[in-house]
Amino acid sequence: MIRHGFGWVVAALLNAAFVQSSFAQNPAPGARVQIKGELVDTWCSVTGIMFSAGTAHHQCAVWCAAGGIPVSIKTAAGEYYMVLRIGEDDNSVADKSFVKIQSHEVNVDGELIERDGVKYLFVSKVLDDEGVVDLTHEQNPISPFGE
Amino acid sequence: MISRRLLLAACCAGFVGAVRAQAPDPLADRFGGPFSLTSQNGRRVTDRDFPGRFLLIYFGYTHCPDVCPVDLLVMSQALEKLGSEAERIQPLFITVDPERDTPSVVGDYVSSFSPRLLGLTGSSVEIDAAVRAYKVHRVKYIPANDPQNYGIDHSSLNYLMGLDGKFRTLIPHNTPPERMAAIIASYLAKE
Repeated sequence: MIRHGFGWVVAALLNAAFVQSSFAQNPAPGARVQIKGELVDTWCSVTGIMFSAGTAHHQCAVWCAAGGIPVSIKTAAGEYYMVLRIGEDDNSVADKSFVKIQSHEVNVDGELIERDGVKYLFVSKVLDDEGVVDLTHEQNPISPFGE
Repeated sequence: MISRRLLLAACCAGFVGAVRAQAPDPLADRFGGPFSLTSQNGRRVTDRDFPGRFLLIYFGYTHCPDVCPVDLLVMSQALEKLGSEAERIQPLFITVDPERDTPSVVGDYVSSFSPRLLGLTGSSVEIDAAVRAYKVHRVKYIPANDPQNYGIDHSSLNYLMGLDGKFRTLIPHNTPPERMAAIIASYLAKE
């Protein structure tokens, strides 16, 4: 009887350890993806309230990132991936690292959660950072306030 | 002995399944948080004042020339489509322009969209806190020749918060009322 009871305890502990370890490895369940595109501030871009790409919009993009507005990666196909975490940082939307790389063309690896048509991205690693390559200021006014 | 092992395996599987079913939503804490604001009736309102109801929250301002009227109309149409199920939802309009949007101004404004829509305003500090919690974009534009007649660019999103007050989903601008109603209904069915 004692042996059976001990067996149950061991099984329960092993079970709990398994559950714990599987959660620790997968804190953000979603499809593993690699996404390439320009880092933009989500609301300016999605709502279309102003021209919002490349160098012409860089100033505004930095303000938004610094202010905690969600940053997205906009792909060449025009799809938006809202970045909710980068690396170990769990507060990416107001993270200084985004301020430094806003408007950059990046390639990232992460986990994707799609919900009701919105794509949320938990970035594990920035694989490539090409810097600012979209030189839109040559043909567009600086938004939102001009130069 | 075999039956004991089977029982043990079944219990373990059930335990794992139960724990996994309760796995936290990775998006739950990404948007939203506590707020304390003033309603259109002058009453103090917090996020904890609506137990048993979902919150459907929109940030805007009453002088908004285009986006807010369209979005609030869509919201009210979506709520109509939900019929009696809409009673489980408290729609909120939170101003991003506390300077001009006093409780009575907000009240007059929201009443033209839906009698169920509750308008909220507050001090600039209180609004700032709510805006920050929901990660709302807003930029004020002040015309040089008419500084009183300023405009505010702002996010145009509906935030659906669940019965536990946590974030469930974003419903963006340009979502048709039928689609919005269907999205909300899917969450009502789960909780």
